[in-house]
Amino acid sequence: MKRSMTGGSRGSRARILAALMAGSLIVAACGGDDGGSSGGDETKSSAPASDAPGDSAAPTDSAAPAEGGLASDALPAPTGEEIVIGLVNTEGGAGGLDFPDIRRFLEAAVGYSNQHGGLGNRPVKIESCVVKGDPETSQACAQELVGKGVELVLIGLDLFIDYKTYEAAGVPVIGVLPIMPMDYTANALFLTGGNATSQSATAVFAKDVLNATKVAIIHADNPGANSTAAGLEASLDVAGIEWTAVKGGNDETDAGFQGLMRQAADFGPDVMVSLYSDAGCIGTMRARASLGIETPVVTTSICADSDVISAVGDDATGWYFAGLPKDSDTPERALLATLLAPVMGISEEEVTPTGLGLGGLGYTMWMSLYDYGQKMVAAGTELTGASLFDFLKTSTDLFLFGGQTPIACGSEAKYPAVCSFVFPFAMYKGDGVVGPVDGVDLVDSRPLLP
Amino acid sequence: MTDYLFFLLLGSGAGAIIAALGLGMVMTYQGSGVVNFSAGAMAMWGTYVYADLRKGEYPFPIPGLPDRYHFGEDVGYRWALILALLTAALLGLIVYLLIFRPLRQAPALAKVVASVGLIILFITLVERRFEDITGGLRVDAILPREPVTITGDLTIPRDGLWLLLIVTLTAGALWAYSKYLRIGLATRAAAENEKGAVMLGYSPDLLAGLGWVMSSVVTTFIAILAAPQIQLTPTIFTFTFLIPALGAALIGKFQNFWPTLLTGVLIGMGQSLCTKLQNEISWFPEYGAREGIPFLVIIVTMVVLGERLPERGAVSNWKLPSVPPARITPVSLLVPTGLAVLGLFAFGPLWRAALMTTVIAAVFALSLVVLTGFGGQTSLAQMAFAGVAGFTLSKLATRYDIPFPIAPLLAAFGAMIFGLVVGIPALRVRGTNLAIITLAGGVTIAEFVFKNPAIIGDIASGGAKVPNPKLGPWDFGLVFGNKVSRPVFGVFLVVILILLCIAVANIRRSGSGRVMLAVRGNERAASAVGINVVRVKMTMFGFSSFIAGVGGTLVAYRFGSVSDLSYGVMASLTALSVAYLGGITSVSGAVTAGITATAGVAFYGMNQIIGGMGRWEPFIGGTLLIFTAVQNPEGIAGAIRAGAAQARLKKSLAKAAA
Repeated sequence: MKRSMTGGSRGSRARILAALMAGSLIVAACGGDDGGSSGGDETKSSAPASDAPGDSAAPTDSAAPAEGGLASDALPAPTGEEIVIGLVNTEGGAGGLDFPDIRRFLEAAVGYSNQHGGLGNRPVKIESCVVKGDPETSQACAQELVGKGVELVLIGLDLFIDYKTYEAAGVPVIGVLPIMPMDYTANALFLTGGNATSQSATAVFAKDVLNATKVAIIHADNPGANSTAAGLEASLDVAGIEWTAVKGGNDETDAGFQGLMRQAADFGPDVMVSLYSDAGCIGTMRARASLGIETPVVTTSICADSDVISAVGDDATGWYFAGLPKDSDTPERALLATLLAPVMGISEEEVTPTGLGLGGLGYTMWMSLYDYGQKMVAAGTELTGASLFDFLKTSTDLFLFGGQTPIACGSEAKYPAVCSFVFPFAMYKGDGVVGPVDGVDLVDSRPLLP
Repeated sequence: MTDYLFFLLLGSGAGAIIAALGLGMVMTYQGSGVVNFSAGAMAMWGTYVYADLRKGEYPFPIPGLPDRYHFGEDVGYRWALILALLTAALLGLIVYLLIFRPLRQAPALAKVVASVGLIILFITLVERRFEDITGGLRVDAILPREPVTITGDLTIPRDGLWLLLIVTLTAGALWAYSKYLRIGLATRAAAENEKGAVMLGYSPDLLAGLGWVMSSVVTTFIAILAAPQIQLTPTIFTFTFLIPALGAALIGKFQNFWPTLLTGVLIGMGQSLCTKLQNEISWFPEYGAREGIPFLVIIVTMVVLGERLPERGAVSNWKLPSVPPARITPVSLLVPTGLAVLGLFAFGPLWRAALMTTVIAAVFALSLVVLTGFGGQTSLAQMAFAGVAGFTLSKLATRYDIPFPIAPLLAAFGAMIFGLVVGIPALRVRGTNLAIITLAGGVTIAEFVFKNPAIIGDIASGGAKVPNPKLGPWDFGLVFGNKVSRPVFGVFLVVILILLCIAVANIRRSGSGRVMLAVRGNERAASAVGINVVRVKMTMFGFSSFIAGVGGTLVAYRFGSVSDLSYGVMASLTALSVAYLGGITSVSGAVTAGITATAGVAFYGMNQIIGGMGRWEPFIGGTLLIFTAVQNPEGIAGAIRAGAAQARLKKSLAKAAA
């Protein structure tokens, strides 16, 4: 994985790494095939996934390919009144809190939409405000954007979203990834579900696909990971699965990871779940292999990064990855490459959904909203910041850009701000290849949401 | 039993890294009397240089210059190591000559501030020069990695053991150097008594410079060897291993290599063993044990051994700036208050936000004025106390519906209790040692309190929320109804700050303040004249942490919620740095500190005038912090006072001449 994240202060970095798990859904959006099916040879998981697409009705989003391209390619430039949208993103903060790609990728997508129909036929002006990963700058941004009279605020990555200010000013907030606990219950909408949903999906996968009755969780002992683990443990409790949690440091030596894996294996689990990401991926994979542990491990799609897989090779055998779909040649994928290659300074062929880092969040968020704007126009609804928010909140037939992940904002009362609840899963298939889990489609987190 | 041995041995690599950093700090302290909080950051840069050289590139550390020199291909293990160690040596020398040599006569706090500046600088450097690397850098193996079987079912990777062996040999070499070589003996002598070394004809500068170079080279060397066993990130040496290394060096009294080595290794092994104990022992703490327990042990050890800890016999040790008399006049009270209130109502929300930041930062600085300025005690745990108050307020207000102002007062008292506990070691140790112990106390609070989802709020509870402060029908909240950025909240903050300023100024003017100054000046003398030093110290810690707790509740009220991210070790170090730069011995200094705080009015105003400093902003901030610490160790308020005094003197001389 390249770009965007380069360490950070201990707490905040760990928090964001923990949240990255949900960010992996972005890959699903960019790389998913049209129609929502993950492949002809795949069937639905035994997990109850009633709202998940894939088994029958294909999503009917406007991003469906039209003769090899996207329908939106044919749209003319927008003719309506300009809409001013605020964008809050963390950049240049101390301790590695620096994610400019989210803004840059989003701006590239906005550039495209301004040439092809705008947002609901309205040209878009982005008022960007940079936060530094502290509450002071988050509050200042909220006040600045409210003062500028923006119709809508988009959150790239902001650890301390000032909901009170936005709410008091009546400015709707749409984000892509909930990070802090308060994000899940805020008066806002997040296109992906964050750790709360991804961990429940992992529990569903462990129970229904891997037939787990005992699970060992390995995670760092930091506030973010502890909170994430607590969510997973609650889901396992709901499933009636016995579990244990083994806690390690934020930064372990390779030997330290061996200790964690051995302690987890001593529990005699059917399945292990590793919440380590980033630096921990290689350490845990190598440790499991060198200890000769054969218990399957479920982890995040971050660990399926090509750099990780090339570093560990077949040590990744037996590892499953939550949130990683099949990578397919689709018009959405082609557009992604076309728009982002110049921004990334690489050729279109080199652009891969797994190589976007957190920047993919910004791109997918905008392209999804752009897509919904077209739908609103088609339905004869006037697009404003508030109407877009309401449309997103009340619609039941939307999908994240790419057409694979259904949007169901607030469909779980405990998580009113969360809009998506399903995850694809992948596994290491040997020879450096990570691919879909045979026989498993999208896994719905809702049955085991605590 | 084999299992326990397995876990202990697995911790050998981490223990060796901790010990190596501890040894580096001992060398630096022996040579120059500086506890180098940036030792890990310096080793980190050298290690990144090595890693980059293995890719055929050499990174330049100065913004504006080309990023790198391109060799074209991997320069090879030996050349990479040599160039990286030369870089480390140069770095050690430059850091000493440009920063810590000018600070030789400065208060020890100035050195801490400069160290913090260096940490910020190096972290930003790595982030900017290696920004394409996400999540860490892997370095190819240097030491043999194959597993070694110790007994039948006890097989562990051997690189950790190799590293431990090398660090042990290094400790032995350093010990022999300091015991048998003339220059080493001189360095040790200087550590015991710098005046004596000067009288014997040794240059403290040379000894100090040598100590810095050796320290930088040794820690970088071990860090490079250790790098393949970890994932290189900007924080792993800077914080993760440095904080326990400080504890190890502390146990070694910053003078002895073997105890430092032993403690470092034991911490690493103990942390590894915690992985097992956490799952084997039912009463073992669920959160924070790995990093919290070693620090608890260190604190207890230091309390027990405290009296045997000598302070360095430097030419001017732990000299604090002078404490000016506190005069409360209508002008000194009404002018700043009036300006602040005027600003709150006259300016827009962004200036208002900057003013609020200034006021809250001034509250934190006031807490350090009492403790450090008046009392000569040091605390690197102020933000941890603030965090305790913030989370307590959230629980009291949301779970138990305790209203304002009872809830924040109780929360601040909660912080005070933690402050008293962390302050207990102050009865036995002082100076730099106390700074490190309070740092350990802050870490312990962070580990056991801020890591616990039940305390800090999890997803199910929506985090730790805080309602608006309300008195009857009056709501002082920042946001109320459809009103955002209400000036009344700013006025509320200003009122709290004014009350605290008056309280602190009155302490300075009162007998209590004079007693504190007496303890600060000479504890033994104070005790001899009948002052109860224990009570005075506890009073200072209690009051200081109470003020920090009030600051924590103000932060919570401002943002409507509390997050663990605001109260880390770095936040405490930054708070101390800001307080120091403002002027740590006076109320006016605390207000100045608030003005110069990040996101305060000076910061915001500067951004408005010259624009943002972009992605190098933290680097520039770190550089300015170092520059100010070097050029103006008495703080901005001290400089203003000195300037005013000089002007008065000039005027009176002119008058006399006339």
